[in-house]
Amino acid sequence: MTSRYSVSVLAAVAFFFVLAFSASASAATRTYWIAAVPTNWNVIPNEKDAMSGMTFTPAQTVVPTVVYRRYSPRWRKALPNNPRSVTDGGLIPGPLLHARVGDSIVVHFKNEDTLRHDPHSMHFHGVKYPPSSDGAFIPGFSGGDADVKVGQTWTYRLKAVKNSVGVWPYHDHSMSMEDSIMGGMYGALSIFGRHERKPDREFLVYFNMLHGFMTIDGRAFVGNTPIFRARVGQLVQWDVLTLGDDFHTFHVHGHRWVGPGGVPQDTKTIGPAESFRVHWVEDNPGTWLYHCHVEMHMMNGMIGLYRVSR
Amino acid sequence: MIRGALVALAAFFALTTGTAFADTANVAIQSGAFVSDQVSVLAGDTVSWQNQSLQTHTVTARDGSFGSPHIGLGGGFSQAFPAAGSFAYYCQIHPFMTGEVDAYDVLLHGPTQPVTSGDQIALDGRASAGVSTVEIQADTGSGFADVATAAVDGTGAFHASVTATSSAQYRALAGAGVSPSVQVAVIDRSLVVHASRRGHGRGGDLVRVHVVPNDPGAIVVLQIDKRERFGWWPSQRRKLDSTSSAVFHAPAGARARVVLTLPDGWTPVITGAAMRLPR
Repeated sequence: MTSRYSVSVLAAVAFFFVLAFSASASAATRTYWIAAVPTNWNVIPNEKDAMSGMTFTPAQTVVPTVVYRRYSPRWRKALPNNPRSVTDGGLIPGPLLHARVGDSIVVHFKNEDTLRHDPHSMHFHGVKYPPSSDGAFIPGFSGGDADVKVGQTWTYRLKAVKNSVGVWPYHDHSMSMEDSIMGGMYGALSIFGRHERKPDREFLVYFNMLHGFMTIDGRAFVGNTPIFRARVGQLVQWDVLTLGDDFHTFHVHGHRWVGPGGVPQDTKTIGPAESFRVHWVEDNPGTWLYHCHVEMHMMNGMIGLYRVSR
Repeated sequence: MIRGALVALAAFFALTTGTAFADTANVAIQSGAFVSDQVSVLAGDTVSWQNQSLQTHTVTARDGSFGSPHIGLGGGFSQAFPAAGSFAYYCQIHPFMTGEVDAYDVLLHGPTQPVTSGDQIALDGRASAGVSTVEIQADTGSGFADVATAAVDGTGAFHASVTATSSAQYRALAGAGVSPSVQVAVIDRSLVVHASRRGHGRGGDLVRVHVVPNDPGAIVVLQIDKRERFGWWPSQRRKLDSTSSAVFHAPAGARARVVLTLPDGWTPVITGAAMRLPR
């Protein structure tokens, strides 16, 4: 009796562990609630280019625009788009969507564009989806996914598959996409392998032109662009993306990473809608610059600070 | 011979008379945009575009009335706008790049920063050739009404001064010509700011702000002077409550100030004095 009881208990415990293990290893559904909302975005909050000494006024740097904003379920409460460590906490870019290979991603989108009253959509790179979740306007072919009118909603259903590992852009692909992208309606997906180690710090660097300035995450010039922070020993990941019409060269001072073929790099070129991520284990404390190395872009705002502490 | 000299003299005077009133507005062309994409000029002015981007662009009128050749990096293009009107243009190579030149018979400029109630507001402008006086009108919310008359000098410039009482839109009238309106914000409020340590062992300070006269719903911003931000940086933003007050939680010892802004949350109306918060 005792022996049979022990066997039953062991079987129950084993069953519990199998369940628990399979639950942790199984695919998850990641759900996001996002809306297109108007905002007054300031490209240069400190009102200066500290490098050159040039000053600006809010009349030159504040632009009414429409952005993607993260919400709690059913769009009840507006939330910060991203943690301050990822983008400095602003509304450009939109929420960074995370998933692992095998996960489903459900994005509930609502158009609350009371500024331009344009239709909007969300179009995602790097993941698998049916045409009804493409979000790309094709006259006579596309449906409500590509033409979400003010006050309307759409749910995009995406799948992170094997070749989704990496960082990818998403953006408006409706009829209004040109104005939207120029105004900051873009974001990123960060997809990890099923068992890939997540970094200790993840930094989102979105090169784009905005309001006549060359911006990183919608801001121009040191002090305004995100100040990224890490500690020695941490695994850091830089997610680098761009949309628009320009090519950029991502460069971080005092650091190198391993590029294709095992070749060390400290600068990498990126073109419109391309994206990449680079990693290293931090070993060099100090206050560093990161920037686009196209000189004209750097001088017009694409430059920021990276601060590493011991 | 004499007739030829008279024609030359007439041509000289026509040229100098024209240039006495004319000015040039500059528009930078950058990758993906004309900066600024809208300019207001006086009829007779010239607009000059300079390409600062690595790409080649054009400046092409929508109605075909003017057009540049391809403009490479460092190149430029100029176009005169002799008559009032609105002229939309775009880049033929990048059709999403658009802009507009608005030419007026009269232009008005006012202070870009808010002024204090009771101060004199300096309003300057330019009028087209042949205009001798302009009427200045103000609208404080109940429609435009005359507030001043200004004489136009030999260069086409005019100056007027009005007493600031409340925020208003101003415009100038020259015959049938009307200038675009300019907004002048008048400060009729003041900030009362008080900082104190948070009690019960909690870290940081409390910064209380009160705006008089009452302005519930107005936006106030706590700015912190940060070395890594190279100046003042918005730390927290609040709407004034029904008593026209707001409270910020601030880091102890920080150098801080409070700014009352326009509804955009950025443009300052009143900037409070900088203060060192208690440690």
